[in-house]
Amino acid sequence: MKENCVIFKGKKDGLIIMLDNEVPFDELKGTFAQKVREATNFFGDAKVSLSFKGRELAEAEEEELLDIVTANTQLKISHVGVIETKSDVQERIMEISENATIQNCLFHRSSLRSGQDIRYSGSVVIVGDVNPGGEVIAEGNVVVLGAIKGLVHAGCSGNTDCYVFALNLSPIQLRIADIICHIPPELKEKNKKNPQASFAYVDEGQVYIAQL
Amino acid sequence: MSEVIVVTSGKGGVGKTTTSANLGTGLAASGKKVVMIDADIGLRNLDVVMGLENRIVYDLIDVVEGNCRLKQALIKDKRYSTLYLLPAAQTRDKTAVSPEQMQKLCDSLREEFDFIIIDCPAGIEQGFKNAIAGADRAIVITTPEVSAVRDADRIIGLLEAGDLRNPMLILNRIRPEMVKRGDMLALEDVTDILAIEVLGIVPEDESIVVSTNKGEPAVIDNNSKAGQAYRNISRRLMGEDVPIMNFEADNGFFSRIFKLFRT
Repeated sequence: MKENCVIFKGKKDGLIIMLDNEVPFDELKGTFAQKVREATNFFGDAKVSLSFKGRELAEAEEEELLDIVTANTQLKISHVGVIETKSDVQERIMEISENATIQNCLFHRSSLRSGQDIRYSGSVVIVGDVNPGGEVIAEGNVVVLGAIKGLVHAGCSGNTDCYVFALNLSPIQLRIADIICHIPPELKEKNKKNPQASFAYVDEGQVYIAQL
Repeated sequence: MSEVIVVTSGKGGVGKTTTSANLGTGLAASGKKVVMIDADIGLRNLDVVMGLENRIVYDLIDVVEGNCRLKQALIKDKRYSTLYLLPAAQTRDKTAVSPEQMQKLCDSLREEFDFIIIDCPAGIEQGFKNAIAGADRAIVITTPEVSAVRDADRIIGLLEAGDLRNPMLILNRIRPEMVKRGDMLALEDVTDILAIEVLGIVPEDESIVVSTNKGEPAVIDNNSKAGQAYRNISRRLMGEDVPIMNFEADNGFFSRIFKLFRT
């Protein structure tokens, strides 16, 4: 049974049930029933609205799924809806979990000295500098309210949407996802005399630096 | 209240032993009771620089292992009666002593001395950990070179992690002419990265080579620029407010005239 053909996602006062579009309905029903039973205690007797997402459901199919919910949980269902269909549910799920990663942020309020490192499965904000020999490795974005003179790696698990920002971007090496680059010497010279806030991002496999 | 100060750097060869010798002598010359401890077990140098190597009978390891009393191992300086040296062992290595033993040793010296200066070995492992164990404060030595500054930054991170906060910086072997030409890092470039308080600057000076070979610390020599810098630093350690030296190579009358013509 494909474990992630059914995924529950909680919203403010509603429950979104993501359904895989390609799995045959009976198999889906089986997984659904199992997941509902596993989650009963978690749901409790909350009042929720239910929405099915990712698969076109016939009325009878929807009924069956709702019956499973009412039979196995104490949820009070206020309203049932079907949200837009997206063909590739897995992609959606990946997107959501990636965004969640980026939105997790670690704040660090001091400089990183040589030999010190921060590794985080989320974004990192440093109020201070990253000295040469210091390293920041993040799955999300890296924002440094100071100078980056060490190593910075944003989107380390392969996310090219991540960016690096610094008040003085003069790293020894800059990495976003799996692209490794360094600052051209003219820019380094310029930064020494007159550092400017800069923003590094990836566009079509290439790292660009915008000076703000 | 006695102070235990460790002189460290990370990088080797930047002037820890020279600084320990000169500061110890400078403080003693002002009447303070000072003991210098050479913590570089196996590669001892402080005794050579002080000119006391032929007076060593017992060393730090002998004290720690109980082969002798602490007083028996302390060597009184040739020139200043309030200055003592506790030499390192040359035939052992850094594993022969532990941080706890070093701390106990420093504590037992506190009663008798105003200043205890620990000459730390290069590196970041056991030798370093031993040297900082008993210290209240740290002085970080660096030269104006990228590699030395990188290592100093690492050391400062380790000191802060070891609860030796607010270390002070001595920038050693600076050449004002090269700084002016832009060929050498200036003090500001160094403090930009290290971001710690500056205790002093010592210029590059041939007299250091001479004084080391003679076993007479440069701080005694009135004609030595480096010696003057160390005298100033000693005074700052005792609480005096001494302005940083002006290192212009030649402030003579004719050079000032030539400067007028040049501008």
